[in-house]
Order: sequence, then structure tokens, then C-alpha cells
Amino acid sequence: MAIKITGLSHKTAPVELRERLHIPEELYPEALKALQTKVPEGLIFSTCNRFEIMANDETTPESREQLIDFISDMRRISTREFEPFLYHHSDSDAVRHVFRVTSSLDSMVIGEPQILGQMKQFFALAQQHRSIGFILNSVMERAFMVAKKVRRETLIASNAVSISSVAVELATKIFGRLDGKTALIVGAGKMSVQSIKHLQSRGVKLVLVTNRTFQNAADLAASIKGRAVPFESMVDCLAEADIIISSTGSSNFIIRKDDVVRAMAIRKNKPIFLIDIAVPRDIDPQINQIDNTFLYDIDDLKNVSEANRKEREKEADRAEEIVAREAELFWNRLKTLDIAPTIREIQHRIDALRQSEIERTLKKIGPLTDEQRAALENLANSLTNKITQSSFAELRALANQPDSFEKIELIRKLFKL
Amino acid sequence: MTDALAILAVAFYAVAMVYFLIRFFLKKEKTAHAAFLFLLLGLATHGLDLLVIGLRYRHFPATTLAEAFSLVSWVTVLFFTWIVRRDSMEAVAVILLPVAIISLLYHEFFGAKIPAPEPIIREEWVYIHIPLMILSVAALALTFVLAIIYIIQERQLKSKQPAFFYYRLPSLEVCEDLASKSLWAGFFLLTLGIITGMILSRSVHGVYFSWDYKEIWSVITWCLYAILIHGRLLAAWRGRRAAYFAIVGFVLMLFSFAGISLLSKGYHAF
Repeated sequence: MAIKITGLSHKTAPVELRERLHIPEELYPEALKALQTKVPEGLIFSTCNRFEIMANDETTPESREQLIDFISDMRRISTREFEPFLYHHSDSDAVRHVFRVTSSLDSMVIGEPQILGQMKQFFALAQQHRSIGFILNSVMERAFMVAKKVRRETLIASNAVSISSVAVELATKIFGRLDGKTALIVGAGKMSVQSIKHLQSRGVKLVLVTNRTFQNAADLAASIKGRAVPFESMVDCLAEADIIISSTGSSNFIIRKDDVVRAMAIRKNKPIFLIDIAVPRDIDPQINQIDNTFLYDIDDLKNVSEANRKEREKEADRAEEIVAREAELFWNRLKTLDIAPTIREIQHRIDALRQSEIERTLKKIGPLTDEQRAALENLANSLTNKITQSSFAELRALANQPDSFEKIELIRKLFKL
Repeated sequence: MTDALAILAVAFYAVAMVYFLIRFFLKKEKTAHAAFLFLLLGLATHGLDLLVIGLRYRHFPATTLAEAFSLVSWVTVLFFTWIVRRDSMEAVAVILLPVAIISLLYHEFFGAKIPAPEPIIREEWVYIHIPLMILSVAALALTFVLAIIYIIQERQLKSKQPAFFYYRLPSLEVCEDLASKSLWAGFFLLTLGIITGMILSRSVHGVYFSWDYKEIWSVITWCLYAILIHGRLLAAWRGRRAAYFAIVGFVLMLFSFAGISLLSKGYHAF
């Protein structure tokens, strides 16, 4: 067993190079097939931030060069162009690397959830095309378990970092659950559409859309199953809306303090969350002074995002510890799984036993003729061979079974290895 | 017997407290079941302790200040177990459990073990009056704790600088919702408690209101809570203002519950 990883990521390579290496989805099966001709077990991770090949190949010690050539051939790119950006990991180091990547510790935004899904996809494809065998299978399955553990035991994924998810996180800190809440979108920026989709997925029931150009509001409302309202009656909607997102190109405030004071009286002081993502701002910042209203502008959201990112990084240290521990544990188990050394050791042990027994017998029965001596050795040889042959075949088969760890450990104990 | 139970209850609460603290600081979800289990164990032994005290001295276990303190904290923890499964409630536990532990220890070390029997305590109404008062103090204590948490979280959100507490405290709505429910329950029980107290006073002293300091303060407290309830109903008071009122109300409540008896001697033993 020799696990190798060769690849590059957003940390080592510029985006242009990553783009060139990236394998489009439709070419992926072909790439896997090509890889299969080079190594017994192989897997390719290709996302916009990372390009890596993982292989298990003990036949060729120069598999690093082999993998580099493979990349060069497959992506039609000269070795010179990408080799300086590559990193290489092998064995326990490689296992730790896969665990880190899957646990989203090597991501651009630490703790982002997409990477786990992507890794699962690559794994499924590799399984489907049978490019991986037992060893890499176990590595990947363990990597997913570790990723789950990291997510469960640390906070690396718990706080929002994208602006739209920060808005949703703040909304849940104010309203608890968002089921049945009403949102109002003023203007139609890309960010507000993103936020509204996010809010809808969390249970926001009604979305009101307004715009100076009514047709634009109507179009957006249709695309997100909302309701368009005329811009003139926007102020009346304030009483109805729990969450307001504003992003117009207006040069002065379009939601003023008086408007909100009046709206609060109508809505009996039920809390209201205003998000102003327009620059220049749409909403009078003094509104934040009113009780039960919470106003965040784009800078405030960025501050929260930054604070959340720092929280995540604190958690990342704990996550690294978990990953390192798990990788070491797993590598040690994996080593026992490698049946070849075990078989070699058993063979040595039995050979030594046989030799010492023959010598002991010779001492007891005195000098023998060469013929007699050969017959005695033959007897011993065929006896041990008969025992080992069948059991070694069994052992090799055993190594590829799911519960082989325990069984191999037991066998090693039996032979006192 | 009660010593052993009290120590056991303190131990269980302490373990639950540790689990809640781990959950609070590290946000480890895994500790939720253990925390809940030890909370229940603590609650059970604490309850048993109160029962044994009651049986041994043949009185309702709220005859001395120490007993009443212990009983109130027990009922508050009991209320808390109803809501503990809601989001981020470990913050409440972190405030409540130390109080429960202190109440047990206070009773253990400073509680007058054999109280002088008060004649009034034999009257039947007293068995309705005291439990009502205890329940109401417990419910309002919960309102108080939730109001404090509300204020902290509201400040975090208004300041736009999320820090330690922002990540660890429940949402405003959860605080608001639970605080207003416990406020209603507490106010209702307090009203009944004061009425039964007046009936009791009538049957013992012949007057409904005997200008005992405790009675005066109770009425002042009741008025303050009545203002809060009206503000909520008629002027739509919510959030920060309601929270401040609930905090002031409970401070008054604590004063009439315990403070008065330390300053003056009335026929309310505590």
C-alpha cells in the first residue's frame, strides 16, 4: 500500500492555472478511465479551487512522476507550467490531507459546506467507474466520517460568512423561527434576490416587492412568487413587513425615521429588521435607535461576517487537532490492513520454526545420509507449505473484506507478530 | 437523611451545570442529553429533600426563609425543565442552577432546623396562600432571568458588533415569548396569592389588610407588575422596556419576599 496525493489548490496556484486544469463534468469518466490504466486505485478531485489526484500504487515507486505525466497528457498542458505549483503528500500525510480537505479546513472559506458534497460526488463517480479499490474506499469513507465529527464537535461551520446568510442569521437571532414572516424588498439588487431566496428557504411566507419602475417589481415578484406593490404605497407596507431589504439607487433616504415610528405603532412594536444594502444608503441610520427595530447596513453586515469568520478560525484549531488524531489512528489501522508484510512475517516465523525443529531432530537421531536428510527436510517443507498456502490465500481474500481490521489483528496476535 | 439528599442534589445540579457550561462555552450539542439527565436527577433529589423536610417537621417546607428559598428555586428549576429543550437555553441554566445550589447549601448551613411553630401556620388557607406565592415567585424569577438575557442579546444586536454572547444566547423572540408567558402565569398566581393572603388575614386577624410591611411591599410589587401587564396589553410594550420593567419588578419582589424579614419582624416569619 502506498497512498499518494499530487495536486494544487487555491493556496498554491493562480486561478488561471486552476481553470486550465479543471475537468469538466462530461470529461470526468474519461479521465478516470485513463487514470485506471496508470494506477491500480485512483481518484480525481477537480473543483474550481483545487485539482488533486489520489492514488494507491505500490508497484511503481516513481508514481509521482507518473501522476505528473498523466496530468500533463490528460489536460494537454506542459509539465513545466504546473509542476512548480504542485504539492505532494504520501501515506499518513496523504490521509491527513484528504481528511482536512473533506472537513473543509483547506477551503478558501473555512467550514464552507459545499466541499463535503463535492468530495462525495467524486467518490461516487470513482465507485461507479470502479477506479478505486478497498484501500481508497476506506480512506474516503473515513474522511466523510471525520468531516461529520468535525462539524459536530466544533463550530467551524456554524456562523454565517456570506452577506446573504449573515442577514438570515441575524434575522433568526431576532425572530427565532422565520416561519410565516413577511419580507419586503425595495429595489432589485442581485444581493437582495439572493437574500430573499435564502429567507424563503427558511420559511418566510410572503415577499412583497416594490420598485420605482412597477414593471421591474412585477417581474421580480413573478420570479420569486412574491407580490408586487406600487412604490408609492411602500411606506404602508412597512407595518406589514418583518424583514425589509432595500437596495435602490436612490441618492437620499427613502425610508425615514417617522415612517418607521408610525409603522411600529401600527404593528404593536413587533420587531422589525431592516437591511440596507444600498450605497448610498436608503434607510435613515437613526432608525436603529427606535425600540424593537434593528437596522444593518452593508458595512454592518460585513462586520458581522468578519466576526463570524474569526470565530470559525478559532474553531479551526480544534478541528485540526481532531483531524490529525483521526488521521494517525486511521493510518495505523490501515497499515495492519496491508496484508503483504503480515504474510511475509508469518512466512519468516514458520521458516524459522521449521529450521530449528529440523536441527533439533538431527541432533537427537544422529548423523544421516544426504538422502535421509533431504527426505526429512522435504517432509517438513511440504507440511508447512500445505498449511501456509491455503491460509495465505484466505488471508489475501480477507484483507478486502469490510471487517478485516479486527480479523487481521487477531491473526497477528496468534502468530505473536 | 435530608443532609444526604441535599448533598446529592447539589452534586447532580453541579454536574448538570458543568454540562450546561460546556454547552454554553463550546456549543457542544452532544452534552444535551447528559445535561438534561442530571438536571432531572437534581430536580428529583431536591424535591425529595423538600418532601422529607416537610414530613419530618410536619409542616409545609416553606416555613422558614431558608426552606422557602429552597422551594422557590426548586419550582423555578421545575419550570425551567419545561423550556430547556428550546434553543440555546443553557444560558438560563447557567444563571438558575447556581441559585438552586446556593439555596440548598444555604438551607443546609443556615436554615433554622426546627422552626418555632407559628399559630397562623395552622390555618387552612395558609396551605393555599404559601404555595401560590411560591409558584408566583418562581414564575416571575424565570421572567427575570429571561429579561436579563433579552437585554444582553438586544444590546449585542443593536451594537452591530457580535461578540461572545451573540453566539451563545437564544434569539430575542424566544426570550420575549417565554418571558411574557411566565409573566402572565406569575402575575395570575401573585394575584391569587394576595387574595388568599387577605382571606387568611381576615380569618386570623379579623381584617383583610393589616399593614404588615410584607403586605405593603407585596401590593407595591403587584401594582408594578399590573402596570407592566397593562403596558403590554394596551400600549404594546415589548422588548427592552418590558424587560427592564420585569427586572425592576422582580427586585421589588425579592425585597418583599426576603428582604423585609431581615429588616423587620412581622407575623410573616420571613
